[in-house]
Amino acid sequence: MRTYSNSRAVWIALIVSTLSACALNPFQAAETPAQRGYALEASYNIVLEDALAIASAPTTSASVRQAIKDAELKSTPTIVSLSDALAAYEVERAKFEIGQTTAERVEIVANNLATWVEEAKKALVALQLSFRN
Amino acid sequence: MSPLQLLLKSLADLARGRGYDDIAEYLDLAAVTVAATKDDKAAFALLTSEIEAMVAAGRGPTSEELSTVRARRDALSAQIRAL
Repeated sequence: MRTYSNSRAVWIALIVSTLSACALNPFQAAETPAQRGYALEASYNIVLEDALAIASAPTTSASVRQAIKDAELKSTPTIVSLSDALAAYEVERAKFEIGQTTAERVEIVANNLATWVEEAKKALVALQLSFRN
Repeated sequence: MSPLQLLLKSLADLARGRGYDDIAEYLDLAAVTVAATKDDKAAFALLTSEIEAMVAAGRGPTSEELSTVRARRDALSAQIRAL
C-alpha cells in the first residue's frame, strides 16, 4: 500500500511539473465547473479546426482521412452531451440564485457536468490521436 | 512528433501499463496542447487568456459565448462529415 502511494505521488509530481510546463493549458486556468466546461468545448473546436485542415488536405491518405472522420463521429456526441450538461448546470445555478432550487440539486447537476468534462477530455484526446499518431 | 510530446506519450503509456489510467488521461491531454501547431498554440493561448479573464471577473461563460462556440463546432463537424 505504501509503495502504491509513493508511486502515485511520483506520478502526480510528474504530471504537475509537466502541466506547469504547458503554459497554453486552458483547463488549468479554469476554476469553476462552467469555466472548465467552456474551456473544453472551445479546445475541442481548436482540435476540430486542425482535424478539418488535415482531413481536407489533398496529400492526406484515405486511411487517415477516414480515421479522422470516424473519430469525429464518435467524439462530437460526447462534446454535445457536455454542452447539455453545462446548460443544465447554468440553469440550475441561476434558479439557485433566485431561490428556486436547492444546493443539493445544484451539486447533483455540477457532478453530472464534472463527469461529462472527464468524458470530453477523453473525446478530445481521441480525436487528436486520430491524426497526430 | 516533438521530444516533449514523445515523452508525454511514453509516460502516458507507462502509466496506463501500470494501471494508472486516470493519470495517463492527464498526460494524454497535456500531449494535446504540446502537439498543437503554431496556429493552434496561438488559439490555445487566446483561449487561456479568455478563461483567465473569466476567472478574474468571477464569471462563467455567457450564453452568447456558448452559442458561438457551439455554432462553430456544428459547422466544423458538418464540414468533416461532408468530406
